[in-house]
Amino acid sequence: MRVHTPHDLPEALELLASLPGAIPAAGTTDLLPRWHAGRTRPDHLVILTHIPCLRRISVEDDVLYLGALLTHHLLATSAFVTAHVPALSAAALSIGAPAIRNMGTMGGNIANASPAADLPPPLLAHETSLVLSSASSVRILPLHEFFLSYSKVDLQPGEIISEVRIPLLPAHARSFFFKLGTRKAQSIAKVSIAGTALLGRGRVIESIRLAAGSIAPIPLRLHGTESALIGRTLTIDLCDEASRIAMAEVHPIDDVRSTASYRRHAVGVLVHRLLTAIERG
Amino acid sequence: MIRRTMVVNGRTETVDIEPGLRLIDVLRDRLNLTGTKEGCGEGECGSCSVIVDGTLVLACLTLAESLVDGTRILTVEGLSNDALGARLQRAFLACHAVQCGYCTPGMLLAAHALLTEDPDPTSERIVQALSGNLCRCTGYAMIVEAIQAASREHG
Repeated sequence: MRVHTPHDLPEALELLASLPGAIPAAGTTDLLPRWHAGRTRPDHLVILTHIPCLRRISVEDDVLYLGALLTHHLLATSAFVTAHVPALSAAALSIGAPAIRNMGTMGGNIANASPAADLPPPLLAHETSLVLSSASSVRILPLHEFFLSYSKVDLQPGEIISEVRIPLLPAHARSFFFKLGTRKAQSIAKVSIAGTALLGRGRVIESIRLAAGSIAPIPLRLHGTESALIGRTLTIDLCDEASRIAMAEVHPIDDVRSTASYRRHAVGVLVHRLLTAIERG
Repeated sequence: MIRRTMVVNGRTETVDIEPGLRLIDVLRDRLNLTGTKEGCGEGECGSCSVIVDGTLVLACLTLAESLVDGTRILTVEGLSNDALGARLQRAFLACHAVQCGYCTPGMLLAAHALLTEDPDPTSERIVQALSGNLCRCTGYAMIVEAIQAASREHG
């Protein structure tokens, strides 16, 4: 294996285009244990962490632009992110522990395609698009089209996630993230839920977007639950009803971290918790 | 094989690195800095915590070749030459925050990163800062007390 440490984006994309079998890497929090256990042996690694433009945070025309190489720590502490995308900073803060949050990046958390990843649910709830860059092209893809099936994403050879674009919601929008793991730190989600909502007069739900992790082979929006809530008044009874609908909508599995029936129950609990938080503002 | 120059505890070191070598391997096997411990080797236990260019990271998850020339690394061996590091070491001794000692280097580095950023942390903040560092002996209380003592000594 050869490791390359380019200092700008064109150099990195050129390396990825010209070296057969080259894969991009950043925090290596997931890659290195797999490499050490002999489960992955790339010929070339292109390290993206020394490219400053991939860490930018900016707002233009009501869109928040976040570089894919922002670490979980930076997402959790950025004033822009905590103010405009609270569910994303909460999810970033729930990952690992301080040292892991200093290393792991948003792009890696998305591209790894783990159904249990913490950042995709809040990014889906905020209707995020990805900017995918290669030496020969730049394309913009809604995040929900990026996840194809278990461990499969629409990322072509030579392409990296360079940026995410998050449309800003009105100031009164609400945005929350809840996760259930075995302990507060260092745990991978058994289930996670993120949601955004706009409430009108009399707590009528004008718009709502819910997304969940660890409930299917890929992170998903809960469209069935959303459409049952639109136009309704947010009451405790409605929270109960939404919990039941969400539990019926998801398709979790038994695995090393939890069981399908526990996960289904937890989806109901977390949806209730999320809607209660939205109701309280 | 690739040659890298890094500044480890203030000393410039030049190391020839084989593909896939982790920072913990460079520290322990090349530079004989065996204070940094490998516990789980997969980022769960924090015993290999070190500070790279001012940031707390895990040496078992850091690919040595991914570090560029001139990278500054602080390990437990460098703490006694550093005012905050020395203060933390004294506080750990005074508060009996060490039993078997395996987690101690990582705890000290995590505490160093915390007090550099926040010289007067709440106990809740201390617990959060140590949330990636496992200790199976002390029950953590003495470690938290030691960090509080080091923070008070500063104030």
